Amino acid sequence: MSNMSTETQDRVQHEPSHGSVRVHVISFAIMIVLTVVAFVLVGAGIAPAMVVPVILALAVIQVVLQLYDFMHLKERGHSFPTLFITSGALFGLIFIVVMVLWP
Amino acid sequence: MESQQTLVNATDRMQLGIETSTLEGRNKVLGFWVFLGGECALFASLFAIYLTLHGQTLHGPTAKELFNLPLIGLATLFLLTSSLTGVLGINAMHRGNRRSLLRWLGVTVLLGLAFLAVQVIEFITYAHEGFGFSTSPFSCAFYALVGFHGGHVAFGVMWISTLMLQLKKEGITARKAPKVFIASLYWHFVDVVWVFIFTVVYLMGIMGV
Repeated sequence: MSNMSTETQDRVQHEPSHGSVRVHVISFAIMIVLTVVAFVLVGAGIAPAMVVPVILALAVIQVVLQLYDFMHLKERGHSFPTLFITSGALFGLIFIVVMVLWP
Repeated sequence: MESQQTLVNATDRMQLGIETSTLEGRNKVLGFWVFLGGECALFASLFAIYLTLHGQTLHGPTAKELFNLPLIGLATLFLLTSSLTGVLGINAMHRGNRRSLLRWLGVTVLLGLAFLAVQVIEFITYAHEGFGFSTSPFSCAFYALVGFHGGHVAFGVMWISTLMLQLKKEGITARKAPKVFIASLYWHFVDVVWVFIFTVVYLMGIMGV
């Protein structure tokens, strides 16, 4: 039993952590690209009505990437953290919609 | 060495890292996610206030006149990169490599300080252009939101620095690891908020939306 655990631990500790470094760097590269695209779109002087939905979508993609990869939500046993953070985000969205649309 | 033993017992529990090798560690991580859910609501309130008031500039400068796209890009680059170095630090912690962990955390803290330096320069410039906290409803909502985020960065810098001192003394133990892990969660969350700030406040502000 203890032998098996040690093997599991070795596998868990060495192989995936090197693999996940690569995944993290790829996520980071995607985030940088999304950021640069957002800045360039704004700098290009295209009509704001077209740019705003796009940069908001880019921001959401980037945040999902942060949460799932950098904050490890994609890993096993993260259903409660996902529930908490999405509830927080949902409440936040309601606050914003209500405040902006109220009058 | 004791922590290694605890780690073995925990590999098939919640997740794979040393930070959840004890019940205390698992509760800490779970509890921290509850806190982050609350932080979402808090920052969303500040965003809601900003979106309601940002058009009311009175006689003060407008967003379009103030914001400097390259400077914001630089701040974004610092904070985004610090998020990567933070997660690479956690990776080093999972491998049990203290030196690498301390190095990545050190880079993270330096990038956080660089971000704060850019923000201080930015706020000083605005103050010289007659854009103070009480200039207009817009300035008030802007400083409340962006300043509160900057305060979070400053707190994160102090938090991670003190953790580094503890790690130097104690090493990566089952007691220390959850503290490092939640500090990294906090740091990523601060970056998540910044993504919305640079999009909603700065980019939309420059476009005059």
